[in-house]
Amino acid sequence: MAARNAGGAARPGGPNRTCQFKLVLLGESAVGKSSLVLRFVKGQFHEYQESTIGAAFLTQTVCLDDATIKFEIWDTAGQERYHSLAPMYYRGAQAAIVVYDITNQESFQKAKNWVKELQRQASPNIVMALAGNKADVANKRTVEYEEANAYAEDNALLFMETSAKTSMNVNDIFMAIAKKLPIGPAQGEGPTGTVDMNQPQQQQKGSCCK
Amino acid sequence: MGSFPKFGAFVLRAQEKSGRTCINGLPVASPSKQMLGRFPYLQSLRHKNLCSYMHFSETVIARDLVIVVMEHHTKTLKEALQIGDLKDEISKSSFYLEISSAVEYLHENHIIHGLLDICTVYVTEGQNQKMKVKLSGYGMPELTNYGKDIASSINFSVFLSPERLLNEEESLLAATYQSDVWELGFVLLQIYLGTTLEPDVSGTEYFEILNKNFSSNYDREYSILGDVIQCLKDKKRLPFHQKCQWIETIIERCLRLKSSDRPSIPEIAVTIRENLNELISNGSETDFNYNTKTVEEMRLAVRKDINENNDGFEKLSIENSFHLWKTCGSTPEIILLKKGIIQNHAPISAYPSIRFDDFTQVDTGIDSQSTFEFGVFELPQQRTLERMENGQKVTAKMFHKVGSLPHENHSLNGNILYETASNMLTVEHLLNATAVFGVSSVISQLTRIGVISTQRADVWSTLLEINETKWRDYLNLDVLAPHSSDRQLEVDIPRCHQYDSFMTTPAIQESLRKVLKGWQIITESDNYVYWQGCDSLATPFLLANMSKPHVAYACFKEFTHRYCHKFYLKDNSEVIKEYLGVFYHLVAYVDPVLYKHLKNNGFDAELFAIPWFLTCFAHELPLSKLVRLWDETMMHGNAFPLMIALAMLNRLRDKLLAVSFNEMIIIIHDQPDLSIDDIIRNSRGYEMVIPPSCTFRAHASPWKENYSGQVFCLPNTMSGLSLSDLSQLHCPRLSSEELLWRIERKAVYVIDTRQEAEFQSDHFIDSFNHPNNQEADIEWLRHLPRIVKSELPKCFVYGKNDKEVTEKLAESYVMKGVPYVCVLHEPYESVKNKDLFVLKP
Repeated sequence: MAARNAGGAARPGGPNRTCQFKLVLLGESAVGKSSLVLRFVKGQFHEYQESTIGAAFLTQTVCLDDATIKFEIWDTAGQERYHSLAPMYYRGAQAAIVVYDITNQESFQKAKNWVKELQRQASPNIVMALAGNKADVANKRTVEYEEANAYAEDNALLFMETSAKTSMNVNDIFMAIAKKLPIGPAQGEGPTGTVDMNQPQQQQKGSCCK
Repeated sequence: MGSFPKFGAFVLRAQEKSGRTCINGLPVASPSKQMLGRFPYLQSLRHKNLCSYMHFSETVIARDLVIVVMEHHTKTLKEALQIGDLKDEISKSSFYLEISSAVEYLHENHIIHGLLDICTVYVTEGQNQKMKVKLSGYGMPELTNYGKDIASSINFSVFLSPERLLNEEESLLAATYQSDVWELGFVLLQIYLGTTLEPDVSGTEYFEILNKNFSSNYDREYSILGDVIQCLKDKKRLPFHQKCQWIETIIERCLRLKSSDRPSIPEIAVTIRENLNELISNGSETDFNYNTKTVEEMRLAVRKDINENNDGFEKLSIENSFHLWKTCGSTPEIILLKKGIIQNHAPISAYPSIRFDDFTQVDTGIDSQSTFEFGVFELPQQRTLERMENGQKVTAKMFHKVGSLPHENHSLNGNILYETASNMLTVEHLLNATAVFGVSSVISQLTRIGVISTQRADVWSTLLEINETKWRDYLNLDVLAPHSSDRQLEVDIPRCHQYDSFMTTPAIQESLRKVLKGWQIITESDNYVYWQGCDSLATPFLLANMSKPHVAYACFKEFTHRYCHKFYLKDNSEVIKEYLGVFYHLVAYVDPVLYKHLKNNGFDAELFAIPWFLTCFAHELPLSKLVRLWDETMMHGNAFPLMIALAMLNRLRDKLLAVSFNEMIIIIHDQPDLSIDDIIRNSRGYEMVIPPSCTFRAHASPWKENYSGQVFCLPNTMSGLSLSDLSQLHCPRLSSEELLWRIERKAVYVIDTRQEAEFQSDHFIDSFNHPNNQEADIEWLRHLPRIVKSELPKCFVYGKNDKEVTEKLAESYVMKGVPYVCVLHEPYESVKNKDLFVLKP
């Protein structure tokens, strides 16, 4: 959105800046989107995580060497029928994690579709990561690591296999995203959180970092 | 107090199979969970000669122990035979009849008894001192998957059928319909002889008889019956009994070694009935039943009860009695622990006393942390009864307060137990009354009393007007055929309401799958599809009707038709957006300050309210709270979920007003400590305050029954708005029909924005001309009589060219914090039939 990307007012840089970034999780249902968020934000895991309807919202703050990053995470519903709501959540997002289930080939295909859609319709600077979740049940794997890795490289995506259950690579993938996010005087994203409903935001502030 | 039923509990140890996982990586349901899932069907069986199953629970103390509670009686058939109670032919005959009809009922319902024996048949005293039998312990093969799911042993009768004894591979619970026939034969035999076979015929002797008959190669000259009788004769222990050829024939046929030679249970039951025809026609006793009585008969019955000083508990259903039992004491588990039926051992006692080399053990210790005695333990009821008797004499009169005024002073007041019992009976009467007087006739009483969990299934079915026509189509469906939604159901159902133990069982999950699939197949032609969330929504209906998925289906379909109309269309965006748009208009109507805050923060309803409405709060609230909310919902019209949403929002109002977007969204997604009573009270309040036509939606359900009064039943000529018009508007619209209705009753402030000249030529009675229609003028508004504290709608009326301006004006009042603002849905000129309400100076 124009208002968002037109910011960029220079401000004093410093080690303790706090930056807010909007991150969206997308992917087929039951691949573990909510579980990844729950593990990242609360350190919890529920074997029978209930399905998400519409979307859920959570925040988590991580510290990098020179800045504090606050993620505003939109965890979306996976069922195809909720697809029409997705643009509301990924529009204006600075980061996205597209999740698939390594034991489910179909979910990998779905992930590729999401990547395509984001490339077409999301903000051009969006930092995208691909997460192959459920790495703890690798013995039931149907998506090979190499295959997904090659796909990620071709599309310039961050890629990790994760397990919300064992917490493997969960923090790492969020940290990797944080490191790739533009922090510094040159960029200026609005405080997001607010979802773009195709209406001018009245309360836009100038930058993501305060 | 004799009429309060007794309950008995027994303990089983479930087989432990840990570590196994399904194909999707999730753990396999434990055998105790599997049994839990099978239990509701057993629980649903009702026959006057069966003890009803009441309750199944996993224990907290040991995860492999489960407790089953069922109706209990003190005297077994064995004891009755031993003390010689059963000598007369009339009693024997009625026992043949009752036992065979009970087993027939079981077999008709595909349940094998499996433990049929004189120890599991109870003898009770029915009306007129007539003895009556009640079978218990039935259905164990079904419950335990033929013994595969339990690790504990069960006390079996000596006289098990030969095929069960020989089947060494399988558990003794691997019973069949034919083995029931054999064991029925032994029960009949002992009644016929009027004595117990044990100890005169010992286990060893029984085996000898079986052996002899086996080796005799089915020689007709030998028969089990003959041999058993001979065995008694030899010991001079054969009691006198009146020779009866037909019953001997039946018994003889039941005791054929080859199971296929035995008659079926229905055949036996028919033969017994034919031979005892006379008895049936003479001795029919009438069970207590209000349904079949006229008012006069009912009065007589009540008078009789009062005279006889019955305590009234005999009129409660067994479920309701058990509900009362549960409300006034501890749980079966705690009782069994206290009484030492279940014994808990320190973990250390599970270690062997000596261990050497690596794994060689001596004296392996107790293999489980908990041990128990097998057998039925009668649950004490003193405490229940003490509380009942506390302080007052109990008479049947107390249970007959139907039609009494809500606040009439009753001697029941203060005794929760009696209140509950009385409410249970009242609700039962009310439900019966709906058949004649319709649902609306009982709403007010029902609202006051509330719904007790044991009656919820009936109340819901009544409110939703469920009858056979609503599930007939479901019964003919092939819900096993592959369907496009299969994958989605497969991933959604195992994680649906998993905190509820029944929802974790394979049996209930399977039922849920069938309900949802059946619903999809039937509504496919209307373009309905499964949306994530439908699973949450269907669950409460299934849990209320666990043994009747077809009823759950019918309730689900009717409920969504009423309260979630068109939400599950393949493309539902129009419907949902209209719903959310109207919802926000109502927020503006009742709480303009909050509305402004939400709008200013870009906090749209799409961000939080979709799961609320799409699942009618089933995805937001735990089941215990949800069902209470739905009890209330079903007593209201199709706009009630909007009222609930207003109440949910209002509860967080102050928190929301203090923060901005991020915190708001977190607050609203997290609803701890929600008091359902408050929500219900507030929702009712909103329903009173909000003019019904303000909730108008083009996509609303055609089901419009409303129990709240005349204003809800007015005709309505409104039509839907486009989504963009809807979002331009910042307050609800009032229908002209409702406006006229309100003008007549002085229940509205009419603010007319037409030019003064037009206003002067004709206007609605008692209406006010707004001086300018550019900007909100709070000072002007404040001078309208009594308006400051009034909760009446302020309806803006406009001329045909002033629609947009007036809507802007209404918006500006809303944004200045003025509540109860709405606009008329059409221009003044278009309002029909208004002459009576117009002044023409």
